[in-house]
Amino acid sequence: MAKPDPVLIHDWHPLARVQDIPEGRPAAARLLGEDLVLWSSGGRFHAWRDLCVHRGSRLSIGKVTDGCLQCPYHGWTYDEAGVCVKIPAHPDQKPPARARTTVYHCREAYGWVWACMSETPNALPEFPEWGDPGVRTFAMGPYALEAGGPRIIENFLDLAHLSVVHEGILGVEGKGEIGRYTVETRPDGVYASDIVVWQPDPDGSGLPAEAHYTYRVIRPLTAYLNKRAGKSVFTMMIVATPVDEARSHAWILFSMKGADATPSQQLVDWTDRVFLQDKPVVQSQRPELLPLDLQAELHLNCDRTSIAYRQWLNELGVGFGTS
Amino acid sequence: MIDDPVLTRDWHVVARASELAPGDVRASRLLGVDLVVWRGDGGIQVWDDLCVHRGAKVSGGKVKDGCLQCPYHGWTYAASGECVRIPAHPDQKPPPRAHANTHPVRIAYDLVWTCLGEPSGEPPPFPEWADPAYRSIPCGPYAFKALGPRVIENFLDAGHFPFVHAGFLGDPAHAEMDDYEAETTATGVIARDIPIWQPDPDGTGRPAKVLYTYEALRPLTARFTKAQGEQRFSMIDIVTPVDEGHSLAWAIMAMNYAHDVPAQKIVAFQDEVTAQDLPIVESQRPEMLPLDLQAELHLRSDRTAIAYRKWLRQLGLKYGTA
Repeated sequence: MAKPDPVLIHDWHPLARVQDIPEGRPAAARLLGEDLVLWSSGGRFHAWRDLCVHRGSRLSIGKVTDGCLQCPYHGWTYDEAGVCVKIPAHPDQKPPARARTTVYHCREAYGWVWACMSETPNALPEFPEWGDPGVRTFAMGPYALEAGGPRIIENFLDLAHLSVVHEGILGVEGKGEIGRYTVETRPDGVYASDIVVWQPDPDGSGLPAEAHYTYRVIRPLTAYLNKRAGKSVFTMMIVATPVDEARSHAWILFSMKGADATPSQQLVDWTDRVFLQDKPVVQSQRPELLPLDLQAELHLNCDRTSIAYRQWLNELGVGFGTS
Repeated sequence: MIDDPVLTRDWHVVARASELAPGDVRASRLLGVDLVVWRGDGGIQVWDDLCVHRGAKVSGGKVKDGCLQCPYHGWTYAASGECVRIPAHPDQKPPPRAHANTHPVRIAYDLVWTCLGEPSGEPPPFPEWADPAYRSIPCGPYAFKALGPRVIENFLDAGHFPFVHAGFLGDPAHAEMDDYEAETTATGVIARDIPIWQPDPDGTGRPAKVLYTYEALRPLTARFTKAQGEQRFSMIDIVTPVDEGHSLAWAIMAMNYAHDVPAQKIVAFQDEVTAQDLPIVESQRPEMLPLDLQAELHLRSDRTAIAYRKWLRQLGLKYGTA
């Protein structure tokens, strides 16, 4: 198992869609190089280390009985607190104190099941548009990527690729010049604003407009975009779940205010299309681990957000997915 | 090659003898070493699967006139391993170094056994094979993405029957294990007469308690005998350590009753039981069996496993253990 990252263990990471963890059907997940089991009972979600302490078998191939999770091998039965309450071979014996599994914080939000591996979790990322009746909101993902989380977030913050990778949607070939914009690192993250880009289809409506971008990175693997184009306001939150150092699941929430003539399915398809254009490029990046030493890759004026992001990761001490 | 001090001196199964007709050539793998197993006019040979000329796998070649011919340049090796013909130089005597790396072979229970080092003994005993009161039925080999010690420990474990083999070998409503003893002897580990409740131990459809006696004969070979009255059902499980991530389990069942039940039906039952074990054993972490007894939890019902782990430590087994 990889060493748990001292920074990322305090963050919340989405691991599954709620509908993929139905009552009574445990599932395997992986976070920061550790195998986890996810399961639910009575509307509560649980994320544990996927290991029965008796013989090391995976609990995720076990079953849920009477609100407990039962190991598939010898039927050791763990209650919701992760404590073994029954050993069928010795029904009259109280299970030893060591017979318990490692339990992590787990909760539902935005239709996703999130987990945090620390005793002292940070706040769950907010997406205030969620539940606002005046805007349409959508949840996308997970997108499985053979790439480290920091590479995915940096791509999300990257402007210079828009006219190349997303040519015809988020940029126009030959008009890829990026003007000056503002980047600042504050105690709570990296901000980039005053970004103006001419885009053929900035929001899925198919109408060209001048798009005004604002970025906010609040956690190493959680970032926001606010984009105003014409009469629409488009916001997006991306969270990259670090599965292993070079494997991630990307999760996206986005909202649209205005652009009411654009059908919801069209917005979803647009987001999907844009993300799938990024995927092969991000997966191709070498080294897989984002180099925090700024001498290792080349940085230009247009890359100031990623410079700030790398410096901030370095300051925070993020080791997982970086080099 | 995986250089385990114990396993390199043990006999391991690399093929089934009756499946090798004269002229057959097969590739096999043992302790990370690629082997060729072939039968000429006489016996079965087991060699490193490598032609010394250009390193081609000779298992891709063919048997000709009782010799094995390399598929690349036709170098031809006699059953002794000696290269007797180099077609590009038909008149030249092949150099002495043109020799296959041969391994000793034993045929026992219709299995082909070999040993990569100096053998420390003979293949483990399975007396039922030659006993006319028994019918022997081979099954497997079963391929596991797991290491031998985890596979053997699962074979020695009766506590999982009610869960992994519910309806076959156990029942969750009768999961309680009676006490039993396990001891380490000069030849291995033995746990005698463990009472196990089974839903249909003899095919009559009536549940009963049967007595299991388990033995570890070698680090990667174990057997049990299940007794119910005069009826005996024995099974030997021989695990080939293929490499660092793979094992192959060869098994033979022997019964002194139910001789009218087709062997095919008995094998199908065993195939199903193994298919139930497979995902569990493959899921076990760490993959290496922890010999430190503090690393996992052990109860009274785990006495066989405790004795097995202690014995492996005593023997100095390295492969598949931590």
